[in-house]
Amino acid sequence: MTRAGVTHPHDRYLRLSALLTVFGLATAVVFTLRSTPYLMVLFLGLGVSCVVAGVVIFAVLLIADVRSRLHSVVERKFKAGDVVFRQGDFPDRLYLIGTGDAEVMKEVPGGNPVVLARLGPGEFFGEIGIIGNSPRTATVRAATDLETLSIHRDYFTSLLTYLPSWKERVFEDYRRRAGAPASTGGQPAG
Amino acid sequence: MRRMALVVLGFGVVLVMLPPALRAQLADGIYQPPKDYLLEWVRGLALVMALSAVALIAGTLTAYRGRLAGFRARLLLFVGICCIPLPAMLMSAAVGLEQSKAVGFCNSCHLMSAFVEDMKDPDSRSLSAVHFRNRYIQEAHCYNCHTDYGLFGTLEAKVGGMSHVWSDFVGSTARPVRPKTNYRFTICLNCHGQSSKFVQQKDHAGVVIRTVSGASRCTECHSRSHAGRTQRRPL
Repeated sequence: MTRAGVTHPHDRYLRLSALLTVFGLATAVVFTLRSTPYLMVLFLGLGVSCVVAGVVIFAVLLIADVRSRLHSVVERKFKAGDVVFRQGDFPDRLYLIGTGDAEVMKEVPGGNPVVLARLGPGEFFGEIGIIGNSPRTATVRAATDLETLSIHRDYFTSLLTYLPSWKERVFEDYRRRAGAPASTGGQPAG
Repeated sequence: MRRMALVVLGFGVVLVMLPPALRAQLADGIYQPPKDYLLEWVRGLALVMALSAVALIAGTLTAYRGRLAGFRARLLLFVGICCIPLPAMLMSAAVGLEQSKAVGFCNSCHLMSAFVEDMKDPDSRSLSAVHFRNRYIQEAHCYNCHTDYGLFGTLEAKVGGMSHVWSDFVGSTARPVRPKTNYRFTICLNCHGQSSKFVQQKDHAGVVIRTVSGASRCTECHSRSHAGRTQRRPL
């Protein structure tokens, strides 16, 4: 579920799919009202193609969304050096570290990324974007081979209601990480 | 949501009722019912469905701006993009193809207008003009003689015609227009072959077999199907 502030990456493709369908339907309306050879070519050639393209795009996005929801809680492994997510990405999941270490880095325009924190087993990252409904505030990279438990954003909020003690900890960390400026040692983790 | 549905429904009813009302007005107040009720209904339904889908998509894009990936927006878009447009497009195609049988459809292409003028010329002696003048064919005059019967007859004719339109669009059609293939005179037999007038004519003995085999053409004895190039208005 998305709220104002951050746009889901599917959003623009859904808009494209909708606009293609509207164009195809417009040719259908014109062709139904007035049938001429050129309008027939326009309808059968361009109109039908646009509607089919719109449906295909929508179906692909729907399948991707359903698949993502079906894998609401999954184990994800990363090799040392792999990027888990990048600063500015859509905040789709939260990660709990099982084994290994992850580095939280701030991208600096025109410079090398600054490492803000190193997180270890038992810690989590990726909550800032989900709770604050904003794009990822930092890049997270696997410092060593990393095993995580990845939770879909929609199920993360449901999970918090069932685990009040964890909710307190998550929000405490969120306030600390999101509120503290990066220069003073805060740890924005996505 | 409910109000939006009511607006769409009201709009649809007006749209369905409008064509007969306009037709009645144009006919000096004397209502002339449409000849093909089913076609009129399918046309109305196709228009209502297409416009409803457009309204639903536009409404969703506006109301859920920046939140299209949410469940409700996706559900509305699913109806607007997948559920309504596909049947609407099918119905539009059916209505359009049915309308394309009319002489007016062929005549809307300037390359065909000389042939249609000749057909409607009361002094012309071409076969098409004779058939038109005597109402041997009630309607869809071009279609009846230029389309093979059978499951794919209409489709073949339309695909052939569309290739002509495309050639004309890209400017590669040679003038004057020639048929893609030699005319199949077996099409004439679809109407004439079983008529007693045709069968009783002694000159027609063996004509059917020769026509089917392609050895004989109706225009060998009867006048031309259309006026010759010199008699037609130049394109």
